[in-house]
Amino acid sequence: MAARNTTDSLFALWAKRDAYFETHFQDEIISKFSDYGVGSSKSNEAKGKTFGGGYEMFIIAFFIGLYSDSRRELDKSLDKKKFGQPIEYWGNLDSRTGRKSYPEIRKHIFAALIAKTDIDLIALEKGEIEAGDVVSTLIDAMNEYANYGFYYLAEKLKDNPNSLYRNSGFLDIFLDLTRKKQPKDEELEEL
Amino acid sequence: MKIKNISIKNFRSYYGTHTIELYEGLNIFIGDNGDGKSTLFDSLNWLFDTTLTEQKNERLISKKCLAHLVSGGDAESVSVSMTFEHDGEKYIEKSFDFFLDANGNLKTANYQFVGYEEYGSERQRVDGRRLLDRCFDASIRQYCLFKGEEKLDIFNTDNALQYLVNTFSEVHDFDMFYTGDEEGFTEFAVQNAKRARDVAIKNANATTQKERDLNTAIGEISRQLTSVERDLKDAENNYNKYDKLLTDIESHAEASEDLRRINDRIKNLKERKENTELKIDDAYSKKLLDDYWIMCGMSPVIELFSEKTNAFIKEKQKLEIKEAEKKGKKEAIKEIAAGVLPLDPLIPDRKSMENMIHDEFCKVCGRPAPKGSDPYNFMVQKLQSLLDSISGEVPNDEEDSNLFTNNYSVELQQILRNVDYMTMRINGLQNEISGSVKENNRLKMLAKNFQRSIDDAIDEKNKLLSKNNNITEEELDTDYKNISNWNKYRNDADHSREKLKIRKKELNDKLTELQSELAGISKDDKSKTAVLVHQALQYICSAFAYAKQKNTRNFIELLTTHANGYLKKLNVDDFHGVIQIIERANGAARLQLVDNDGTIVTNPNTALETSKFMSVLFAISDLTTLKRENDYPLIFDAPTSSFGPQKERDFYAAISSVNKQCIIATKSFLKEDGSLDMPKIEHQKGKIFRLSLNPDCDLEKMSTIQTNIEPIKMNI
Repeated sequence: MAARNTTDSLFALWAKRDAYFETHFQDEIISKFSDYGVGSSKSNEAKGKTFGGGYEMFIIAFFIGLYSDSRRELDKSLDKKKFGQPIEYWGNLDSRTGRKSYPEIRKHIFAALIAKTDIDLIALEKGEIEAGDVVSTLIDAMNEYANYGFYYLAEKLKDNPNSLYRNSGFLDIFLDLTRKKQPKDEELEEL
Repeated sequence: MKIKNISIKNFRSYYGTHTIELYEGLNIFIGDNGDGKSTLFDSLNWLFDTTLTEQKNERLISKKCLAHLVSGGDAESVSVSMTFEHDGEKYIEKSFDFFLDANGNLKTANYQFVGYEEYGSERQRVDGRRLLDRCFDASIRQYCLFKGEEKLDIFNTDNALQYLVNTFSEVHDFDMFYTGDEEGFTEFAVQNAKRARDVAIKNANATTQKERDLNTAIGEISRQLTSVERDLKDAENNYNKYDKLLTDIESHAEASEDLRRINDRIKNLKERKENTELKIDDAYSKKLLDDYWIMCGMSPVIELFSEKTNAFIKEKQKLEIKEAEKKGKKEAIKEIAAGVLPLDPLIPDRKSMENMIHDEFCKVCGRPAPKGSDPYNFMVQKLQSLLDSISGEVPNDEEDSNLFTNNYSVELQQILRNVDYMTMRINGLQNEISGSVKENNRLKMLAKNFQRSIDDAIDEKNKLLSKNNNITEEELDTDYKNISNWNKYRNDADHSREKLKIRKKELNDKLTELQSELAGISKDDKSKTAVLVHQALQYICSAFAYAKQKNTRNFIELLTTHANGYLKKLNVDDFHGVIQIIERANGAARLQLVDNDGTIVTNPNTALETSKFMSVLFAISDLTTLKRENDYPLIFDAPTSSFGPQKERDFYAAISSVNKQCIIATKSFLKEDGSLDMPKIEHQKGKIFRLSLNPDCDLEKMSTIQTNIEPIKMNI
């Protein structure tokens, strides 16, 4: 059996890819809450934004989709856009004052994608399907979860334009999504 | 002067004509906020204003009356008039007309200020301004009309005492003889006599050496005296300056202490608030990523990943085992076929079996096995089976290859180990988040409470400053910090003043001595006379200076005595002490309250402060009466707004017992629901009127506003 180096790993192949989103979300959401599209994060305009890179907004959207257990296919008729920053660089460096790196999030996104997609791992292991195809499946799933998240956020903004500008605006969404599940589970157990 | 009646027409809220018959004692006009109390006061103030010749102010016109005007129609008028008794009955009226021209523009015309007075049995029209200035001149008026409590302190300006003394005493008459600034006649005469003496002495023919020496010495002493007097004046000024400063600080000492305490509290609260705010870490959105809070719902996903990865690995292992088994079997066949693998000693190999069949003897049983017998057939069958099993099944080496070409299972296992490592952290995230949110909320609440306390303290500070005549915080603080300096400067000035006084006396004595000696030895009659004249005029000048000082002191004493008489009446139960009028440099003065044990009351409450000022005003009114042989009314707008109900009742009772005509507009005697407190009203000795807005007026529309005056109590 041939020894594998890290660049050949499935995770590494996945991490070399970039995420993409429906272009309209750039103005609707991403640029509103992150430095995306403003160039240097030191620019005055960027100061005071909730997030740094645009991908941070994507991570938020992805987890909303994941915890809602909902994916939404990207609209084929609409333009798509990439962040220009492969996943392997997401949250890697503490580029902004006071920010920390968060490598574990990438691993957990990958684990979640493996868990939530119907990949035939045996076939992959046997070489019956290509790693590149599997990675594409994972990326598609990731984009779809995030796409659901973006629509969710757009709806939130429509209902209450200020809700996400509060300090706890995004946190509340996650607390809401993760807490809601518990009573449901309990109810099911009772039934 | 007693006002008999007042008539107001179309003056602001007083729509139409209102005539009020006044009592010669206390007259109270009761009204709530906006009912027209200040307008009543303003109407009288307008009537008494003799500074302007034309006063057709459109703002004075009743808006209700204005609303009834028709373009190009008849004119209406604004007027305020008064009938009063002052050496006979007199009448003044100030008025102007207003109308809308053909274009609907408001125009004013016919400003008039007329007066009428009786000459014998005739009533003659005179100039209203002149009549008023003659009967109720500006110097008196300024001590008769007061709006609000804060305007009652008449000593709050420089020269106030000087003005008062000049207006109401005879002291001013001394000014032509002695001013203290070398402008009086005696000072002028002394200077001239001095010059004449010097010239006479100089010109004396037979001046002896002794005379020359004396003259030189007198000249030297005079120069020294001038210099000492100048220094003394500076020292006096310095002393007065620092004394005033220290007196102010003293009166503000408590306020300074309070201010320092409040500022310390504010500083402390601000520090605590800042420290609290520094601890608040509510960048929750960033924490979602940086502190992995976003993974708070990952547990079920990780479980799923774990299940899937483990199932994959298990499946792979199963397949690998199967594969291995399959591989093992093939190897054995190959080896058996090659004879590499020995069989059980009890199982004969192919060669042995062929030999046994050939020999027709079973070596396993040790018995013969003839051809055709069962044992022979069994051996043949066994041989055939063996041959069958190895025939054509020897595995081909080329066919041997791996089932799995990739090894992602190892990678997934590694990732699973990584995420498992994070599981404990993830399971604790919900608690970490709620703990952090709770803590931040607690800190925010704490910071908010600190801010509220800061706001309260700032309010308290503002109240404190406004209570102390709106002195600025910087002044209060700087003065307080420099109090030891000011004390030192005042003591230095005092010390220097005393030293200079002694020196001045020494020089004066020496001068007198030398002058007497010179007068004694002067041979020349002319110079002798000049010396004596100068000496005599100096005595006269000193006498005038003393008399002026004495008269001023007498006036202040008289004013103080009268004021204390009123203070006693106005503060029946509250305060036992006296008012002191402290004279200061530059004709200024200040009032202070001293209680019976001699302690200065530095921060009297507003009611006591008002009583103090009122007492002085009544006292001034008394002195006015003495000087002018006439009495004057006192008119107040809301003078008792800081008084409590009991204090108010006592106050008005005291005022009604003072033999003066008082016109007071007040909110007193109104209950909380706006109705009149009749028992209290009945208790008053005077005329009482109710000011109120017409019930059908709409406060939003000025054109409906109308004040009514209703007599409430007319029997005294």
